[in-house]
Amino acid sequence: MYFLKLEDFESIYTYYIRTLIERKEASNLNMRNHFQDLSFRYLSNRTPDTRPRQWQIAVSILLVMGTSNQALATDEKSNNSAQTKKVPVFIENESVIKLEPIKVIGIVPDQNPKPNTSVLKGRSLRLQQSDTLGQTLEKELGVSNASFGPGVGVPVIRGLTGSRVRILQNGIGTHDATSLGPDHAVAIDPLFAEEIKVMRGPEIVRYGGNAIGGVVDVNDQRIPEKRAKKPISGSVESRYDTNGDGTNSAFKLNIGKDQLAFNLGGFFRQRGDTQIPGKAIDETFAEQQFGLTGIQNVSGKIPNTDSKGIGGFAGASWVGNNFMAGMSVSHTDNRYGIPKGSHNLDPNHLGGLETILPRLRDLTGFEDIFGPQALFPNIRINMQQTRYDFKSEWYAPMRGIESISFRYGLVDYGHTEVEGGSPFTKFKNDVGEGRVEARHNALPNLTGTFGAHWIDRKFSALGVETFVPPTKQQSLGFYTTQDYTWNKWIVRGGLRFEQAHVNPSASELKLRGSALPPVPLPNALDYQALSASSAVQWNPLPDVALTLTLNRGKRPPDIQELLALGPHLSTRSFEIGNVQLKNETVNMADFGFDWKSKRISARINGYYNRTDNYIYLRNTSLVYEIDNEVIRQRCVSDSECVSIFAYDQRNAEFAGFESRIDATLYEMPRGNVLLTVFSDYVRGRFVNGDRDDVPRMPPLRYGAELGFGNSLWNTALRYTRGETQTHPGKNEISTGAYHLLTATADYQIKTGTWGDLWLFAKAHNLLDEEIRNSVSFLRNFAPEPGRSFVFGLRASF
Amino acid sequence: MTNRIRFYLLIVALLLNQAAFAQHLDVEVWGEGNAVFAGYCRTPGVVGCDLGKLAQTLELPAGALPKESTTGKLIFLANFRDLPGGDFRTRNPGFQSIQNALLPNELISYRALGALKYWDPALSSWGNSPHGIQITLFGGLEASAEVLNDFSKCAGQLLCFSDGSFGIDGSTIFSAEGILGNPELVVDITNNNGILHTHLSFFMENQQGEIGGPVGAYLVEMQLISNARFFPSEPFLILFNAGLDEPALAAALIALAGKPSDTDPDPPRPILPVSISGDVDLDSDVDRIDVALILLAAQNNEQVNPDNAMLDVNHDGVIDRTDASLAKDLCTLRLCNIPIIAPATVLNVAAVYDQNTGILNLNDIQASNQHYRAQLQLEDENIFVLNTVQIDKPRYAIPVRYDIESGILEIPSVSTDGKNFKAALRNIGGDKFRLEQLEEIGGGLEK
Repeated sequence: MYFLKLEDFESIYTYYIRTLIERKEASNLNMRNHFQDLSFRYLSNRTPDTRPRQWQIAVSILLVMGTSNQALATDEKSNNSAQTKKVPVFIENESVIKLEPIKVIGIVPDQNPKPNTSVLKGRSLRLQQSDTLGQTLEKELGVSNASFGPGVGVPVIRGLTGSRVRILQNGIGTHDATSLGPDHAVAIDPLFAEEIKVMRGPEIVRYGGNAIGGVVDVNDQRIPEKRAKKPISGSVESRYDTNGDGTNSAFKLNIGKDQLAFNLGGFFRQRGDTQIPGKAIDETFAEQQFGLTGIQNVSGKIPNTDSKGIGGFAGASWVGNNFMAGMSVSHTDNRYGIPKGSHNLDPNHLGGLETILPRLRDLTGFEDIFGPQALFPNIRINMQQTRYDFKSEWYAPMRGIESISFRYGLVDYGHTEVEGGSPFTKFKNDVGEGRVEARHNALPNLTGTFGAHWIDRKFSALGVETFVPPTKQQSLGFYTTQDYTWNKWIVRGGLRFEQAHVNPSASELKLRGSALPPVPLPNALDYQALSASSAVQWNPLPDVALTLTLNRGKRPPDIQELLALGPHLSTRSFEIGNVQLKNETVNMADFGFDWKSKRISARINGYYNRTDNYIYLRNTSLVYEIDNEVIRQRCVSDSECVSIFAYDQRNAEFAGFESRIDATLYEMPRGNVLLTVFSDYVRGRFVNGDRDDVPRMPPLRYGAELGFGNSLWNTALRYTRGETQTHPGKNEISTGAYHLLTATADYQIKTGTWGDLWLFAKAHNLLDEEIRNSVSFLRNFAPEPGRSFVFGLRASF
Repeated sequence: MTNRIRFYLLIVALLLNQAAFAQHLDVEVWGEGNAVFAGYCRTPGVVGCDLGKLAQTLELPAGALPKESTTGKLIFLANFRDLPGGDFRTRNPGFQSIQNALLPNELISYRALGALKYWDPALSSWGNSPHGIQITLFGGLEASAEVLNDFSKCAGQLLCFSDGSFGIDGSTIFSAEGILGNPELVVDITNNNGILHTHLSFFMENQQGEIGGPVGAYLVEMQLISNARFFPSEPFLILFNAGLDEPALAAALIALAGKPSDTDPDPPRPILPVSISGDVDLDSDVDRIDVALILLAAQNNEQVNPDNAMLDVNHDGVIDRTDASLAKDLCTLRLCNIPIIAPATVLNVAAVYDQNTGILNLNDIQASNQHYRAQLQLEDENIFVLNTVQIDKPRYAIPVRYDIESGILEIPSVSTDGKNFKAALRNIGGDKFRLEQLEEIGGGLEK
């Protein structure tokens, strides 16, 4: 006699729900309709005439689960086989199954898509994948790419980036140096990504103050979360980019047996200098801004923009019926060049060499110190990151608790900035970040989470550019999110309390080579922040959802905002920190409209964000002469001086929208004709004073994409118009409008048991336009890439 | 007359060579005892001081420069059109000191003097500058008394100037009416080896700050002061060419300098420091400039003599490319070999003690709200005698403090022989002070 216990049902159900969520199918299936009203009683308490009906229900549920699992998650075969073994016993013996009455609610917080959240995966992701995360996401609405040459691409969400946008790898921060400077790349290679989730707007409650502008979470599934469906499976991908002779290859291998699963992956990426249609440096800008005419400039390519990356990971997990634990180790090595900025523009300034070299007739044997590369050296960044990630989940540990999860990441990040082959600054960031979260479904219609989240960071920058002292930073946050579902309404709420502690290891700062007196530092700085979010979603019709989201979140100041003192060459600034900065507080209202019919879907978001105590760099009107290490009020050669900025706070407001309409124009036997029109915009400016612009905002973008294809092949032509950025910010120069035309085509070949082959091609900037990206610090020195064609294939087995 | 014509021609020759010299027509700075000196290319081999050729062209004694005939003040040449950044602005002349010519961390400032003079090419005479035309000089602000490094006084900012703002007057204005703005600003601070090499920013503009002015030559006057020495340098002149052609500028120079015989036949020379091998320009490192200078000397087939012995790196009696290769191997600087990332050692302190002379210079003493500068002489083992004292303005961020009631002179940091000490002296009467506390502080300042 075999009793199918209640725990089995709960476990199977939880497993089923989880699988659906993972496959993102849950939103398509209205699970509430399937399960909300199902209840079971002890069969022994049932009358014989009702028993067959109960049996039918029970069996049908099991069959549905079995089929769904088979269809959706064949990698969980072992689990399914366990179930199928039970069912025959169960039926044959007509045994008495004792079941507690349960009410099954199929709603979890992440299940309903938020209007300001988008998920990039599958074919769309594969086609958009590029060398950097920013490039990969730049077509997403509300997202721009803050490039610093092609080696760096940091996502900008609704005009915000750096310390205001958290970039996560499987839920744990990347902890690179992107918040410290725009020349620092994200320590993620997008080629591994299986899914990228972009959350626009504040996501502070779950992710902390640095998510005040949004979150980008790259899921590469390096820790196996499911049992392997085959002993060995995997994929290999390779692509070639005609622009810069770029090659990009990666592989993934999934190995598993029973409860054990292993993942292995590796990538190699290499590209030469990026090709552009015109000259790298905007000479009009150089003359206007620096008064330089005879500058070093190059046509057709951006020198020193080659890059090379290599990395890999190994992950292992034990996956039980309702418990999994796993870990992964990964290492990434990324080496890239920075386009020549405004330093080294002036051939007449070589520290005195310029007076001697013209008189030397023979430099044979001394090219290494007097050649062009030695005189105008390249700046390159060698970045390494090693991560250790741990993850465990316990599903349905007790009644009312859906899961308890634990995530911890140990990140060892460092990069060395090299000039002319010699290292001059080394950045180091050692971080531990962890999260414990319990997800409950205690009450009917109410689900939610309770969690604790902590970060322990040690940061240092040693060398020439030591503009931030070695500092320890710790934060601890407690949070809860709750979702209540009632008929056509979903109400969400969240609350987070966060304590942050910043402790500089130095008692004073001395500016190298300067006559400035030592600047004393405070012992430690503490911040408390209470953040709250709420959202109401109303579905007046089955295809329509209206959402109003209100957020009030606080971000404690970051290390460089508090403690910077010194020249920051990449941004051509001298930064002065402020240890009395308060929390930055965002107040955002976001209204979203979603409509999905059979042939048309529309999605429109409008938002207004009033940020109190917005932290920004105030120009002091003084300059710092880099070579002489002297502060002045004015400088003869602007190319040798950088402006002195002090961190300050001022209220700012951001308003914008994102809209997208997808329509199936024609349905034909060979495929459908699809049309997408889209637009996004954000305007940021300071509230008080002269209401000047927040600099480096993206321009108004709009465009259309025409596609034709079916499940096997697709083609698309996309046109984007970027308007002139007429609000570039104080002392900034506006960027021109552009036309961006791209095209994609892909074809999938099913090879039966051996696996699938996917061929793809894409063309970027077909019109070969000179595009100066308004969110880029280096827009006047390095335009966006010119025309390029990418060809690639991906084989999965 | 023959001499005058020859001198005229030689001045033209000098000006023809100006493009080469203009970039680094530096004021050489050194200290001797309690005084700071300003000179021109006193050390052979220093960048931009190809005096051998210059002296030959001008038939001047080695190391000499034109002087104002009436005062004997040195005249440095600069050109407002020497940079591609545009006319009416220049970074020259620069200021330079060689190894050990000054003390470590010695703060050199300039003091503007006199009034702006103008050479009118139409009148061929020196006079006051045209109405409203001025030369604005932007010096360093680090040593300003208005600099605040206490974040509690700067609204949290780690550094600010005067009451949390940056509204400091960071410029010196040379005008026909005299000196306006801030007459004293920082040139630079020397490094641990007493080396300094820096350039300031000169602009010619009108009173509204608009760049430009009439063609002609302009003359300003200044002297150098040090936080470690009591006596400033002799005043010197800087002659700026603003668009004159070579003969016109030569005429302006001759009008000031008079006949060549007026030049100093035997100017004082600083003591040359011992150089490290390959360090041709005596800036305490071997860098690309050293290699280039050796290559230039080899190309010109220069013979080894006592003044250029450092060019013969391998000491074989010949200056050739082998010496340059050897210097390249010895090169230690950034962009040449491995960078030297030295820790920051900034000391902006008001007290310096010279062990050789026993003189303690206190360049900024605060007593109540009044500031003084004073010099004390070590008389006995622990007793100092007050030599001089005078009222002065606040100069340094961390002054020496004197408590009138207790008679305690508290010196937060006194620099001597590369070390820093915290000291306290007590006034025991009769202009005498007894040393009561001396504690090494290892380069850090205690607040």
